Amino acid sequence: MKLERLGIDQFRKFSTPFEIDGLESGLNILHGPNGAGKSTIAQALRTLFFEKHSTRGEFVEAISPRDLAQAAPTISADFLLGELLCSASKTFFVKPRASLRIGSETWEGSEADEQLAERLGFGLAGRGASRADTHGIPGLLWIEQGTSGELASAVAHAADSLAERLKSILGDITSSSGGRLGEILHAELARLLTATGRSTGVLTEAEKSLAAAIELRDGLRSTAADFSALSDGLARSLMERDRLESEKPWQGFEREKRAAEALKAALEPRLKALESSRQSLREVNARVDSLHKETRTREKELRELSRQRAELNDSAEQHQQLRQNLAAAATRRAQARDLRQQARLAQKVAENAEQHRILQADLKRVHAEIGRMANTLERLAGFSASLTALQEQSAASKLSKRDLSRLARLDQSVRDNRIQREAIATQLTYRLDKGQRIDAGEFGMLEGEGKRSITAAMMLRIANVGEIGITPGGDDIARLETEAEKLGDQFAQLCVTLGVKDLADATLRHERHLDLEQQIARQQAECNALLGEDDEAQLKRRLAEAQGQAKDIESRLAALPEAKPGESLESTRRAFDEAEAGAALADEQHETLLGQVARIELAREALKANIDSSGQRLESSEALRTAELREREFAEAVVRRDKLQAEVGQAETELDASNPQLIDADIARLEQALRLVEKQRHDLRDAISTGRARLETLGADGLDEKLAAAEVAVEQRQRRHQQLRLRADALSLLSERLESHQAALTQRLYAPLRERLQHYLAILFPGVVLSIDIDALRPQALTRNNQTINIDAESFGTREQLGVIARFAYADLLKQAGQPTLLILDDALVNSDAVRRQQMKRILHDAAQRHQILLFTCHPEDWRDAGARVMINVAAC
Amino acid sequence: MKFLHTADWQIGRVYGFEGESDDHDPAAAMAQARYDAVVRIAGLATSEQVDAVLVAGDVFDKQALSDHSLRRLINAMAGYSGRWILLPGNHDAALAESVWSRLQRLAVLPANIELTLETRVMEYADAGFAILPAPLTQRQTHDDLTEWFDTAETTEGLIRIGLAHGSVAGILAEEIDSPNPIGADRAAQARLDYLALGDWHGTRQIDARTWYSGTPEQDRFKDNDPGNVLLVEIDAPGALPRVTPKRVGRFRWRAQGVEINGSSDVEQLREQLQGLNDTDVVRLHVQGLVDFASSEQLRMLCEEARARAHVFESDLGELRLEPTAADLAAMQVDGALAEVVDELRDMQEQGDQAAVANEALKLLFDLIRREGAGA
Repeated sequence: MKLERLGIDQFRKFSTPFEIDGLESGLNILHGPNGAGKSTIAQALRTLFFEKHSTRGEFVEAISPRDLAQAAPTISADFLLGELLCSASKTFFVKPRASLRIGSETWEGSEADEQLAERLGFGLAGRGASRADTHGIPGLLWIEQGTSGELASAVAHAADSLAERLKSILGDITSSSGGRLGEILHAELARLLTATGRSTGVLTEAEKSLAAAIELRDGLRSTAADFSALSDGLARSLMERDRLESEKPWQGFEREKRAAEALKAALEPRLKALESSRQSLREVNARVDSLHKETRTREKELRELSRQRAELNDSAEQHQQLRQNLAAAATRRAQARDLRQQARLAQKVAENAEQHRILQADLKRVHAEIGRMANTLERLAGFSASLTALQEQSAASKLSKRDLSRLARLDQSVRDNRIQREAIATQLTYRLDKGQRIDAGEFGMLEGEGKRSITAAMMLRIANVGEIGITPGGDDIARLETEAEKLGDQFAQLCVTLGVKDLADATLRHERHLDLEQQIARQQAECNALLGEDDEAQLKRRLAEAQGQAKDIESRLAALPEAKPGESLESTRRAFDEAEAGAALADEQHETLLGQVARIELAREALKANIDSSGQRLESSEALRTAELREREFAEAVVRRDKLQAEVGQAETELDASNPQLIDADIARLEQALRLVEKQRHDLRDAISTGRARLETLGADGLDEKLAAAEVAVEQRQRRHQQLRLRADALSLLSERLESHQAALTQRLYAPLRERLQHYLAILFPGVVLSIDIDALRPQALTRNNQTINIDAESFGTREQLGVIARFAYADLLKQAGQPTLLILDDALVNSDAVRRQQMKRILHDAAQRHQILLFTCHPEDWRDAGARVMINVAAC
Repeated sequence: MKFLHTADWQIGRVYGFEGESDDHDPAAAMAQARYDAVVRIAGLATSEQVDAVLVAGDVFDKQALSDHSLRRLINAMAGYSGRWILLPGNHDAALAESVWSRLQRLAVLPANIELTLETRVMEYADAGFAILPAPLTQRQTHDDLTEWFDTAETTEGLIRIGLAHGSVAGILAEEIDSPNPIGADRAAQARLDYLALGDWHGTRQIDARTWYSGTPEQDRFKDNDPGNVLLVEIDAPGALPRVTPKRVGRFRWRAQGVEINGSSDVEQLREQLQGLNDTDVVRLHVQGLVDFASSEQLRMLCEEARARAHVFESDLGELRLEPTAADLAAMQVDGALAEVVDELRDMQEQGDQAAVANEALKLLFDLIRREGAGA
C-alpha cells in the first residue's frame, strides 16, 4: 500500500482545508515543531480508515475544530493497493458520507466502510467509535505516539487477522492439532495420578485393595506354614514315640538296676557289723576324752591352790606395812589439829582488837555530832534575845503608812488651798526707783522690784503721794480663807495624834521603822540557816538520840575484853586457813589408809577361806583315792580303743574291695535313666495330643481353601492394578509427548517470523549472537551472548526499538503474503540514544525498501540522514 | 473282575478366573464341577456294576479343607454303594495329621469307603482281588514306595492290583531325583495284574498293565487327554487287562496362541471360536500387527467368544496396533499428533517401553475416534 495524498478539512486543528501531497514509497518524514499538527494528521488517517462515517456522539467533540460550530470533518486520501489506484473519502456528522474507489470499482456509505476494513485487515465497531481491539493489522503497524514499546496488546488485537493472513507463510499455528486432546488426556490422567505423580482415584483403590489382599494372603500363608511346621513336629513326635515303644530301653535299665540291688543286699550284714564296731569305737573314744579332761581339770585346780597360798603369804607383809603407815598418818592428823586450834585463838584476839577500834571510832563520831548540835542551840538562844529587842524598837517607832499618807494628803490640801488663793488674788507688780518705797500695810514696805498677791483689801501708802486702796475681786476668797484655817487645824491635830512635829518628822519615823523590820527579817533568816531543815524541837530530839547512842557504844566498849596488841586480823586469818587445810589433808590421808587396811584384811580373809575349802576338796584322802581310780580307768580305755580301731580298719579294707559306693551310684544312675525315659514318653504323649488338637482346630477351619482363595484374589488384584498402572503410564507418556511436540511444532512454524526478527536484530545489535523465543505470535525473550532476558524486562529504549523492529517483521511477512502494508511511526523512537538511533536508521532504510513508512518527528535534523525520499514540513503546508 | 480306575480328583481346587459381572462366577462353577465329576463316576460305577472304584491319590487338592468340603465329597460318592478304595497322594499325603485323619474323626466315612493309609496288602477274597497300596505318608519322598510290592505275598488265585501315586521313573520324570518315583518295571517285577497310577492328569498307558487314569475333570491348560476314568476288566490272574477310557469331565481347557496379521487371520480365528460353548475354558494369546479395522473386528470377536464360552481370556498385550496410512488420514492425524504417533511407534520397537507405548497408542486412537479428529 502506498499513500499518495491526504486531504483534511474541519478536523481538529485544521478548520480550513489542509493537504499533504506527493508522498512516495519508502521513507517519508513529516516534521514540524510541537503543535504544528503532526499528530492530527496521523489521527486523521486513523479516523478515515477505522471510523464508520455514521459514527456520532462524543466522537464529534473529539475531532471537531474548537473554533467551528456545526463542523463537518472531512478526510480524503488517494492511495495505491498493489497496482490499483484508490481513493477514499469520509465526511462525519452534519452530512455523513463515505465513498471508496478501488480501481474501477466504487462503494458508498457503509459498504465503503466495510470494504476498507476488509482490504486492510481490521474490524469495525458495532456501535460508536472504534476501539483498539478492532484496529487489527493497521492498529499494529500504525504506531501511535508513545506506544511503540507496547507490543503485546497490539499483537493480541491483530492476532486473528495476522494468523489468517499469514497462514500461507506460518501455517496453522492456532490449530496445530491435539489441543483439546491434551486436555482430555490430562483429565483422564488426573483420575489415576495426581500432578505430582502420586496415585489417586481408582488406581489408589486398586493399590489399597491389592495391599489388603496381599496382607490377607501373607497372614494365611504364615498360618499355613505354622500348620506345616506343627504337622511335621507331630510326625517327628509320633516317630520318636514309635521308636521308643519298640526299643523299650527302660526294660534294660530295670534289669541292671535289679542286679545292682541284689549285689548291695549281699554286702549288707558286713556293713552292719562294721557300723556297729564304728559305733563302739566312737563311744570308747568319747570316754577316753572325758577321762583325760577330768585329770587335766584336777591338775589345774591343784596348781591354783598352791598359787593362792603363795599369794596369802605375800599379802601379809603388805598388810603390816599398811598398818604402820596408818599409825603415822594418825600422828600427823593430831598435830595438824593442834596447829589449827592455835591459829583460831590468834584470830580471835585480832578480831577483838578490831572490834575495839571500830567502836571507839563510832563513839568519837557521835560525840562530835553532839557538840555540833549543842553549839547550834546555843547560838539560836542568842539570836532570840537580839530579835526581841529589835521587835520592841520596831513596835515603838511604828507609824503606819496609812497615817503617813493621811498626813501627806492634809499637807497637800493646805498647800493647794494657798495656791488657789494666790491665783485668785490681784497681782501687784512693782519696780521702784532706787531709794523709793511704798508702804503696803500688812505687806510691809515695798522696795526695788517685786510682786505681790493681794487677797484682801489693802492700802498702799506712798510717801508724799498719798494712799492707794486695792480690793481684790471674787467671792471665793473668803471661802478659801475659811477652808485654809480648817485645814491648818486638822493638820496640827493629826501631828499631835501621831506624835510628830510635821510631815518631815513623820516621814523620818516611818523610815526608821522599816529599817528595824528589815533587821528582824535578816536575823530570822540567819536563825533558819543555822537550823537547816530541822526545827528546833527536832534538833533537840536528835541531840538526845546521839547522846543515847554514845552511852550505848560506851557500854559495849566496856563489855569487850581488854584489847591486847597482836598480829593483824588479815595475817591471823591466813594462818588459820593454812592450818585448816593442813588438818583436812591429814584427815584424808588417814581415811585412805584406813580404807586400804580394811580392804586388804577382807581380801586376806576371803583367800584364807578359799584355801581352806579347796584344800579340803582336793587334798582329802577320798579325793586322792578317786584320782587314782580315774587314772587306772583311763589306761584301760586307751587299750580298748586301740583294739577297736584295728578291727574297724580291717573290716573297711575288706569292704572297699567290693566297692559298695559304686553299686549305690549305679542304682542311682539307673533310676535317673528310668525317670528320664519315662519323662520322654510322657512329653511325647503330651506333644502328640496337643499337636493333634491344634492341627484339628486349624484344619477344620479350611485353612488351605482360604489360602487358595486368597492367592487367587491377589492374582486378580495384581492384574487389575497392572492394567491401571499401564493405563496411567500410557496416559502420562501421551500427555507429556503431545505437549512437547506441540511446543516444538509451534516453534517451527514461527521460523519465518524469527528469520525476519533476526534480520533486523542483527542490524540493531551488530556482532552479537542472538536467539529469540517466540510465543503467541510475538517475540517473548531475547538471548544475547547466552543471556536470556524477557522482553518486558528490557529497558524502555530497547523495548521501543524492539517494538518497531517487530512491526517491520510483521510487515515483511504480510508483504510476502500479498497483504497491504503501511507503517506509521508517530514519534516512535524518541527514547533511543544516538548510537541506537543510527542503527535504527539503517533498519528504517532497510524496511523502507519494501514498505511505505510515514515518520512523524519534531526533530527533523535527527532523521535527515535516514534516507527519506520525501521530507514535508507540516507547518509550512 | 471289573473296576473303575480314577485319580487326581483334586477336591477343593480354587480357580482364579474372573467373572464378567458380580453375579457371574465361572471359578465357583468349576470348583463345583469337581464334585459333579465324582457324582458321574459313582453313576458310571453303578451302571457298569463294577467290583470297586480305585482312586490312585490326590483325592483332595489340599490337606486343610473345611469339614463342609469333606462332607460334600462323601455325599457325591453316595451314588455308588460298592467299594471305594482311596489312596493318599502327594496333595493329600497320610501325614500324622491329615485330611484322612480328619475324615476318620468326623466319622462320616460309610463302610464301603476304604482308606489305604498303610503299606499292607488288602485282600478282597469275595471279589477275587488283592490291593497293594503305596500310600504317601510325606508330601514328597525320594524312595520308591512301590518296592515292597515285589515281595508282597497274596493269596493264591487273587488278582494282584497295585495302587500308587507318583512319576514313573524314566518316563514321566525328567530328573533322576524327582519326587515320588515309581519303578518303570514295577508291574512286571511285582507280578501285578494291573498297576493303577495317579499324579499325571492326562489319561496315559505306560505298559500293558500300567495306566494313569488322569483327572476326571480337567483343571489346567494342558491338553494331555484329561477328563476320563478307566474301566478295567481282568478276566483272571495273569490275564491282560482290558482298559476302556470313559469320559466323565465337563470342561475342556484350551490355551491358544494365534498370530493375527490382517483380516484373513481374523476370519480364520472367527471360525475357530464359532464352536465354543459353555464347557469351554479358553485362554487366547494374540500376537501380530493389526490395523484399526482388524483391531475392531478382533475386539468384537473376543466379546462374542466371552459370551459363548464358560471362560474366555484374551491377552492382546503383544498385539500391535499398526494404523494404515488410510487410518491415519481418516482420523486427520497431523501436526504434533502425527509426530507423537510416530514416536510411540518407534517406542513399540524398544523392549522396555513397548508395552506402555502400545497402550498409549491404543488409548490415543480410542480417544481420537471418540472425540473426533479436530480434538
